[in-house]
Formats: sequence, structure tokens, C-alpha cells
Amino acid sequence: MKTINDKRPAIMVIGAGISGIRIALDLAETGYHIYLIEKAAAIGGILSQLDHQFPNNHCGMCRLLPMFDRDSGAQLCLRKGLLHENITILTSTEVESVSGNPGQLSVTMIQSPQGVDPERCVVCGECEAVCPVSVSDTFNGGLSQRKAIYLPIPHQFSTTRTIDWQTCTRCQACVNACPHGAIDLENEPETVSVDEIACVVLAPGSRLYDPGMVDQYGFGVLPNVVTATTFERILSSSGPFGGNPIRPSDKTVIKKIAWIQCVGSRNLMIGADYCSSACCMFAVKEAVLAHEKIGNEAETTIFYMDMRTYGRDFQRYRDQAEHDIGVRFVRCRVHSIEPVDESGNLRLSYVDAEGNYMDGIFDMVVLSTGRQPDQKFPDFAHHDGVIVLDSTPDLKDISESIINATAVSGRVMQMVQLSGIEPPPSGHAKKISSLGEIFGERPRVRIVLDNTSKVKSNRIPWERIESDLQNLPGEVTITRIENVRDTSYWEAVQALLLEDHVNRFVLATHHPHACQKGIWGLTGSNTLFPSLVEIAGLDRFTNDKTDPESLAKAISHEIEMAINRLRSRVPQDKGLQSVIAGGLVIGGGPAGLAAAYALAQNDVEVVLVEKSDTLGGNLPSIFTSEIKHRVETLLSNVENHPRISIHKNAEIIGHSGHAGAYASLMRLNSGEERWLKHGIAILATGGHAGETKAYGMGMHQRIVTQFDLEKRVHTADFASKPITSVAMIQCAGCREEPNNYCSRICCLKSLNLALALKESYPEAEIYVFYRDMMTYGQSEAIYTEARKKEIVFIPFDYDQKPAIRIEAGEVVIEGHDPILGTPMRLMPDWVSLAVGVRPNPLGTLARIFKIDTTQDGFVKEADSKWRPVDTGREGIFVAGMARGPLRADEALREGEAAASRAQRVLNKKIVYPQRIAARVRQAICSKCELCIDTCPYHARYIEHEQGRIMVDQLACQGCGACAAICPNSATVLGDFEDNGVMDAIEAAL
Amino acid sequence: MSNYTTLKTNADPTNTVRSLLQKMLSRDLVDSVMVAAKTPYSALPMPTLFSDPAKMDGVDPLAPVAPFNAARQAAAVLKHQTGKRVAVVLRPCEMRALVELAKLNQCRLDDVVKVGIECMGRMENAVYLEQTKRHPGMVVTFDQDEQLQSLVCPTCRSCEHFQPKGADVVLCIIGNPVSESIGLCAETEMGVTLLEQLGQDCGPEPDQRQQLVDQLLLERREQRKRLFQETSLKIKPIEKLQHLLANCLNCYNCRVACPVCYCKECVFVTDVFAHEPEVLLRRAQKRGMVKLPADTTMFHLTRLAHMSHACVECGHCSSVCPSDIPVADIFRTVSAEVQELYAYEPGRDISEPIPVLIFEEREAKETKN
Repeated sequence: MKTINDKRPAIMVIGAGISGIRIALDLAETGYHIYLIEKAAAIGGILSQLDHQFPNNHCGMCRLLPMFDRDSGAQLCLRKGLLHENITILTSTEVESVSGNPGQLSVTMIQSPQGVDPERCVVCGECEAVCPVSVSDTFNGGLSQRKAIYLPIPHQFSTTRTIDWQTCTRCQACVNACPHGAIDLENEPETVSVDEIACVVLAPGSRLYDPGMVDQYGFGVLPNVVTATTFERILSSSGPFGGNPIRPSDKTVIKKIAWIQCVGSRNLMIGADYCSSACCMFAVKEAVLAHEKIGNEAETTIFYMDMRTYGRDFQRYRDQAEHDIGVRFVRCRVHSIEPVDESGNLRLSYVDAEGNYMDGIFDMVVLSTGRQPDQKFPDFAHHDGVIVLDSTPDLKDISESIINATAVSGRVMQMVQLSGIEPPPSGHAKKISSLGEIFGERPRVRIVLDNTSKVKSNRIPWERIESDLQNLPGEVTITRIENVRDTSYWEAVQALLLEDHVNRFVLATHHPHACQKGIWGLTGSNTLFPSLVEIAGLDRFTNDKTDPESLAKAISHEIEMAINRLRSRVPQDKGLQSVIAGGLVIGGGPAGLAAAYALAQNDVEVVLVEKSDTLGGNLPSIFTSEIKHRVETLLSNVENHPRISIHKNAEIIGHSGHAGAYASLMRLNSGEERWLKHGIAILATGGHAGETKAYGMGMHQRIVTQFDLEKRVHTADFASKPITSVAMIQCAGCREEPNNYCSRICCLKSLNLALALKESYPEAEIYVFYRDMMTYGQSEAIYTEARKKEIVFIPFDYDQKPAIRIEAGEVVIEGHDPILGTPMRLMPDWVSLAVGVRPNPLGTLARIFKIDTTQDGFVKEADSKWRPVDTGREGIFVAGMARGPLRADEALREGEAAASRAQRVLNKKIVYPQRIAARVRQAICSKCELCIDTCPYHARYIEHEQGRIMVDQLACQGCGACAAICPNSATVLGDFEDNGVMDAIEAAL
Repeated sequence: MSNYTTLKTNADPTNTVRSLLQKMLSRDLVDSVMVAAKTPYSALPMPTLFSDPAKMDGVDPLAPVAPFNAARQAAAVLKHQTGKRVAVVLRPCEMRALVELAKLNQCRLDDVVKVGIECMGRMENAVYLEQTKRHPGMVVTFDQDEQLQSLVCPTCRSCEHFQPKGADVVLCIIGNPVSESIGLCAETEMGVTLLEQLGQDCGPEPDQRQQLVDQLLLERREQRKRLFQETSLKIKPIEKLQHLLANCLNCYNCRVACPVCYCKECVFVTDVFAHEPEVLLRRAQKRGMVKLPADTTMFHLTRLAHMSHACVECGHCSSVCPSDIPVADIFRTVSAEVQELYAYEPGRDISEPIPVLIFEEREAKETKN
């Protein structure tokens, strides 16, 4: 049994999907050492297969990377790999058991043999080239072939190849081909144990539904019927067809594509009484992408039951897909797919909304396969000290997964703090104070050429390159050292650097990313400053066609560029910023309460400012007893918390400062104005019931809002006489301009209301007129229950709304019965309108906090998917209905997530500037303020006493926009000093 | 609109303007006036800051000369609020530059009286000093004598901004022989108040003035277009530009003269361009030779990148070039294209944001390929 011994206090995160990665990065940023455990051979989960996310159809996963301690990790595409000083990734590993007490847990894991020793492998690919086995590649949905020794995720650089033991024939070809003896076919599973784990987080994720399990839509038989994930692989440039939109059967360009929704979800026959939540938007995105890739000839159709556009901006994205891009939406259930002839074309048969039998021929059919939560937790999940990501598994989209994971990070921080384990102090302070003088010295450059790397590099004329480099003016010494990965190599390099007294170091290597950790070892031991080390990546020089002469020249240039980048480096800014350990929460609804409480529980002094005279927000209209109870408990906890000071009838009217050191002006009811100093602020200003004139609202006392009826139903004297019928109309004044968004809560509210009515008045007839039933996730089961209870659901289209009239003092609804295809007429006792929600007006808050809002007046987050509770300004967060409509339980979670993100700032206490960060040369600054206006992170401010332009080191992301706009380089970007960049360009020419 | 008044000059328009400015001081309408004035030692009018009306004998803003673009001097006086009210008398290109400097936070224009002058061009300093010896009544003679008028700089001959923009009050010389009268036109509310305080009765602007302005504008546009066409041929491709700049000494006079080159210290005199010997040797090694000082074309291109959106076409860069490089022609030609691309006109409006600060997803399609 192997035992990992690391002195640092550690936290273990099990599951390296996006939730696990989010938690690992959050905690790594606080200084804890993280073990990130993944049972698959590579990290990334489902999203490693997906290149594009709406709304912008880019990826954006890199936005998960740390914002402050950027130097601790590689700022690289996260889909390609994760490199962080504080994160140890163990793949092909499963946790067996957890024992011990919280704060001091011992974990036993089983590590499957990968067959390839990562210490020795240089990812040259010789093994794969000689492997005789060829099997279909599941990563690409079986559309391409791979070897028995293969890269589990082709675009990841940080993983070595792995062996598929099922198909490996043990022929030894790879063992013999490996130039470094890195392959061992006799590996046995290994038991690994690790002690002193402060906390274990289980982030199990979900599985994709396999439509081949039940004979459905010919999947597995008809080659042109694929899953949505596979279609995404087809469109991917790293996919089976290099991104060409061609179909599997005959490799012709796809033109007519059909998506079939709810395959494996919302299907009682297979026990899937849930909605997979993400597939509707996934399909719309894929259809939009298909148009982008295929062009004008694309014809896309989505066959759906309900288009679940329940996120804040989803409806407009869908409408745009339909009206601007030409995606066709057909509401029906497709009953069969059959091959047309030998061509591979497919005939879909379905019954349309009018009850007509229809069919259509398509080139390709995409099944929007749902997901299944990993329902069964392992035994250790119940061990004290283990936190499970979701106590009740629900299927979430990216932003919800991130919110949930962020909230969990906060809980872990709290738990670890409670067990009294402090993260090790940051090493940066030490690095900054020593060795400063060497920057000023004339460069003495040591170049290490890593000439082992790829076998192909044998072709590289190293002597020629060495003589080119020797010929450069200045002091340059060159050494060639073999083998790059093991510890002896790095010891040799360190010895060299110390011996020569060099002050600049260039490592020229074919696998730059694999060397990153070794470089961190060198810089961490203070052998050299990080800024005085450059890696010259030679990984792109593998083209066999290049003649040795030009190859030598190109490589020399690459190395010379690295040397030149190093010439004019200056030490990073010593300016430190301190963080005020106080938080401001604006809004006392569920989200605000949750945020305030979570912060206070982490020892933060919180000021909670509420505009009205009561806390709780929309609590009076919450009738689900479990949630009502949670909010009420939270409310009393907040009111009694010693670290929370509550100001009702108060407003924030002014704001200044920068992240970590804000000041806000509060006006109390008495008219008194008071400045509050705080490190962070959370906006949880909430929302309220929408107002509408649609469907006869205000014309009759029996036409009421959903909220109103709900309140009446829950009062004792509601029904003096039995109710015989109630009609509910969904989306009243919603999902159409000017309020073209789904309010998310109304469908579930109507269902609960209908069920409550049915409970009290079993004879009552209840009709729900709806456009799309938005019962995402597990709430689908309530929809199913309502249908079982004979509540009548009548779908209608936007352009065929039911009409309401008053006849002889009675309310009459005229609609269209889609089953009979005839007009229908109802005279209900009550009409309930789902009027949706609107954001509470932000007033001057948006302006004084300098945050963006959506066209509907919600607070716009930094990134709707990857940074959902951050605003565009560091240190200002948003939670709850201020950001978009959501249920109270979701608001609680979002409040907690915002607090967790805020905690990240507050944990800093002192902020050290990062290597790549902006700096102002005050002596030559003309104070034109162009940098202030151009900074996308609001990281610039004027220090009023001396009128100097300052950089907020917490907010600065080192993007360089300021350095680009500053005409005289009074702003410089660390490690991108003008001279270095210009000299590097000079070298490249 | 009643915002125009005519002042009789009795053959001495300079005196008329002087008296007007003196009145502004003596009636305490402003605390100081900055205006071009001759010194006892030279006929060349220099920007001068007056507080005492009795000292204003040398005031000479109408002289067809400007030793440099005075926007920088005005900006120095207006750098931040002082509680003092200042009037500045500026030519159109100076006024436009001042507005650009204000956008760049180099000065504040919230407590200033802007007096603009209609400008028929300036002579080079040496030419003016020569001519003014021969023509003591230069302002009146220049107004009448086409021969003299043809001696203004080439930049001025193709200038379409001969009328100031954004001034509170404009001294109008178009449409009146200056020997008889000059016009005074209030263009802002502040200007109207000021004329009232100066005791001027205003009426509408004379009709024939606009016709003359339009006609002149047409001629100037034509000349400007021609100049740009000719210059374009001389600067594309870049080898031609390098040829044109071959005599540049890297003296940076053009940058010093440029009113919108506002940097406290130009990047070209900082350590950024103070190359280590290794860098120069490497360049020489690589190309076989390197001209010193290096970075000549780089300097001009960088300056273009920094200020072409704000170029007010004053032509002072050409005036100060010791090598007679047509700097202004090059810069004006490129700047005109840049300004057209962003529909930006420097000095037009202080609230018009600088193009580099605006991001539009679909902008500058032309540059895509």
C-alpha cells in the first residue's frame, strides 16, 4: 500500500466534473492543499466533450480559474488541463473508505493501473503509433477509432496516455516502442491511503442516459441517429470528423436535422419521472451551431413536449433561434423513426398539435438524451466530515452547478475553520522581499535544452541551434540535459543555476506544460524569481516536412524570443492592499438572509440593510411548508446573530473605494447618514409580483393573480361555498416583450395551488392553460402527480391565447381544445393569472455600484454560466431575484454561494500583486484616465489625496487593456514590459 | 436669433479687439485673459496671460501668425479649477485641441470663457517676421492683399476648420473688411450674457456671411481632398513612407509641437527605447546593418496610433521639422481616414467620447481582412 505524506492540511474533493473543479479551485485559492480524485482517466466530466455553451456559443470554462492567486496556477484553457500548485489530481482513482474524525480523516483509495508512468512519459505518442488494436472511441460517441493505448481526452495536455485493459492484447509493442521505459503492462490496482484530511467533499455528478438500453428511435441500429453529445462531437474541431458537419453513414454534409427532446427524461415507462433540465437549451444551442457551421442550407427542427426556457435569458435566445436563425420548433412526441432507403435518410412520424398525422425526412436525428443523477451514495458519504454536494440530487445546468458548488465551498471553509485548521501562510511575502537586486543586473542567461522529448526531435540539429545561440550578444550559457520529468532532473537544473550564478533561465522543451510543476519547484525554493524564468515551448516544431536548416532557425528564434522576454523584467509591485473584514448585504429577503448568515458564521461582521420595515422579502407568499420553515429559521438566526447588525427602512445612497476596501453611505429612516466600511457587498435586492393588464386583470374580482389566489386558498375563510372550477393561465404578461423571460416559479406554484385545491375540493375542475410547463428537474414529478389527479392541462401558443370576457357578471374563458380541435368555453369560479416576477427597481444602486443590468432590470453577472454570482466588479456580488427569477430554495443557495465568493476576498486579508498585473509608473503618468475608462474589471481608481491613478490588485486580471491604451507606457503590465515584448518580436522576425 | 453684433474698427481692428478684452477685465467679467500678444522684444505674438488691462498694449490675436499651437498653454492655465475665471482667445485649431485635451483630463473647461477667432491662416514665423517689417499694419493689409494671403502655410490653405467650434464668442472677420468692422457672434448662452455685460446690442447674423463661408469651405475641401490624394500616393506602401521619413533626425520636434501629444514624458525618451547594446548589436547582426538612432518609422507610426484620432490639422509639426519632412501632410492624411472610420471629429463636442474608449462589436469591418 502506498501512503501519500504531505505536511500541508488537505481537503479531498471526489469527482472532477465542473462542480468538483469549482470547489477544488475555491479551496486551493485559500491555501489548502487539495486532492482532486476522479475515477475516470481524465478530469472535466461531461463538459470535456462539449465545446460550446450558449448564450455566446463559446466555451468559457477558463472563467473558473482563480482571479487573485493567479500565479499559483497556470492560466490556461481549463478544458485542456488544470495545473495548480495546491491541487494534486489523482485520476483513475476511486475512494474506498473514509475513517477518523473530522479534521483528521484518513482516506483509502484504489488507483487503477494506467500502464503509463507519468514521471517518465514525455507524451511522444510512439506507443500509440505501434499499438495494433483498434476500437471505437466512446469519447466521440463511437464515431472514430482509437488504440488500446490512447489519450482519454485528446485535447488535454496534462494527462499521459492510458491503457484500455479490456482491449489490450499485452503484445508488448508499446513497451518496446517507448523510448523512456514508461510503460508497464503488469500493473495491478494499487491501494493508496492518505491521512490528515480536514474534510472530504463528494461531488458525484450525473450520468448520461444511454438510449441503447431500451429500443428507442433506432439508436445503435440506424447510424444517423446520434445522441446530442455525439452531435456536439461531430461539430467539434477535435471531434471525429474534424468539425465538418457530416453524418456518420456516408460522410455527406448534413442539411436537415431533427432533434427529439426528452429521450430518457420525462418518461414514466423507464422510471424517469424527472426533467434533465439542460437538454432543451442544449438542443437550441446545437441547432444554432448547426446553422453556423452548415450555413444557409441548414434546416433544423426541434420536436419537443415543452420548451423549457426557464433561465433568465433563455426565452430570448430561443426566440432568436426561431425568428432570426430559422430553427423550427414542433410540439409533438415523435412516435417512430425508420430508414427511408439505403441512403441513410430517416423518416420521422409524428402527430402534430392539431392531431394531424405527419411525417418528415431528415438527414440526421439527434436524440436529446437526458441525464441520470448518481442516486446511490457510497457508504463513506455518511461519515462525519464528509460533505455531499447535493443531499437531494437534482439535475442542474452549468450555472446552477457552479452556484451549488460555490455554496458548498463556503460550507467546507466554515467546517475546516471550525476544526481549527489554518491554511499555510502564503509564500509570496517571502518571495517579494528577497533577491530584488538581481533584476537590475546585466542578464546572464542559462539555457537548458531538453533534447530528449519527442523521438522526432532526434532530427533537430541541436549543434546548429547551440552555435546560433552562442553567437548572441551578451552572456549566454547552454546545456543539454536529458529527461525532463523526474526529481533528479530538477535537482540537476537547480545545481546548474546555483553553480553558474546566472540570473535568467530559459528552459526549451517539447512539453512545456509538463514542466510547469518542476519550474514551480525551482521558483518556490527561491532559486530564481518566477519572472526570471521562461519556458520556450518547442511543442509546435514537429513537422517532419521542415528541412533541418529552417527547423534549427525557427527553434533558435523561439529560444531567442524567450531570452529577450527575460532581458527587461522588473520585480513585481511590492504594493500591498489590505482587506476590510466586513460585509455589506443589501436586501433582507431569503437570498440576503442566507448570505448574511453564511458570512457571519465565518466570523465576518455583516451589515444588513433592508429598504422596507420587515425582513424576509417574499416570505409571506411562500407556502411550501419545508421552505417556509427554512426561511423562518434563517430569519430568526440572522436576527439573533451577534455579528449581524440589521438596519431596516434604510438605503445605500453612495459608494466608493475598491475591492476589499469599499465605503458605502447608508441613509437611515431618521435621515441620519452613515458611512460603512466593508470589504465586499452582496446585492440581494429581490423581486416582486409582476403587474399586467392581460386576461382581464382588474375587470372582475374573480380574476386574480396566482399569488393572490394562493394567499386566499391558505386563509381559513376562503370558500364559503364549494368551489366547482378554477382556471389558471400561465405566462400572463410574461415570455413576451417587454417582459420576455420565464419567471421560473409560476408553473410549480400553479401546480402546487391546483393540488391544494384538489385536496380541499376533490370535485373541483381545475384547468391550467399553459405555453410550456416549466417543471425542470425533480419538480417534473409534481406535474405528473397533477395529471394523475385529473387536473386538465391545455397548451396554447403565443399567437393563440385564450380570451377572457365578462358575460352577465360571470367570467368566461374561450380557448382552443387541441385534442378535439374545437373551441372550448369555460365559466370558472376563479381565474388565476401567473403574472410572474419583476426585479425590484435598483434605483441608483446600479449606478453607484457601477454594475450592469439586463434590459429587464436584473443585475447582470460577470458570466451567466461560469461566474453566476459575481458582478463585473470584484468584491460586489449578486444573489437571488435581483439576478433573475428563482424559487426561494434556490435563492437561499444563491445567497450562500455569493457569501462563499465574498469569503474568498475576505480570506485574503492582505493582497499581494501577481506577476502579470498592471502597475503605474507615477513619475511619467499624465493622469489622462484612459486606463480607468478602459479597464474591463474596474480595477483602476484615483487615489484622491495625491490624485494618483492606482491599480486595485484584487480586481486586476493582468489583461493589459490599460497598458495598450496608455500612450507613454506609464502603465506597464508585469512580465510584458514593452522592451521585452518588442525585443521578442524582433527575435521572431 | 439675436447673437451678432458689429464693431467698427476705424482701420485698427487690433485695437478694437484689445479694447473689448480690456473691457472684460476692467468690468471684472473675468479674472484673466490669455491672448496672443507681442512682447517688447519681438513682433511675434506669444500667448500671454493678462490680469491688468493697462498692460495689454501688445495684444495682437488677429495677426496671421501663431508661433505654436497655444492649446497647451491654455491647458496649463486651465489644468484644474482655481476659483478664477479665465478667458482664452484661440484660433480654431487651438480651440479644437483644447477640447481634446479636456477629454484627456489635461484641463477643465467648466469655468472658462472661450473666445474664438475666425482664421485665414498663419504664416511661418520667419515669413511673418519678414513680412511684418514691410507691412506695419499687417492685420488690415493681410485682409486685403491676396499676395500676402498666399504666404500662409500649406496646411492653412487646405484647412476647412477656419471657423472655431465650441467658442462662447467668435470674432468674425469673414464678410467684413477688417479695416471697417469686425463681427462678434455669441454661440453659447454664456456668450450671449457676456455680450450683454459688455454692453453690445445684438441682432441677427448678416445673410451674406454664410454664403461666403460656404464658398470658402467648398474651395478648401477641394484643396484638402487633392492634398490627401497626393499624399496617399507618397505613403503607401510602407517603403514609400520610410523613404519620405528618411531625413528624420529623431529630434521629436514634431511631437513637442503637437498640441494633442499630451504625455508628460514621451515613451520615446523613456527607458523603453533606450536600447541595451545587446539589442542594437543583435539587430545589426541580424540585418547586417542598423541605422542609428533606430526606431524612426516606429516613432512616427506610434505617434499616429496615439493621436491620429485627435489630430486637429494645425500643421505645426511640419513647421518645426528641421528636415522639411511634410509631417503634417502625412499625419493629416492618415488622421482623416481614422477620423472618418470612427465618424469622429476632434474638438467637435466635449461630450463626444474618444473612439478608443468605445467598443462596438460590429465596428471597423473594413479592417477585418
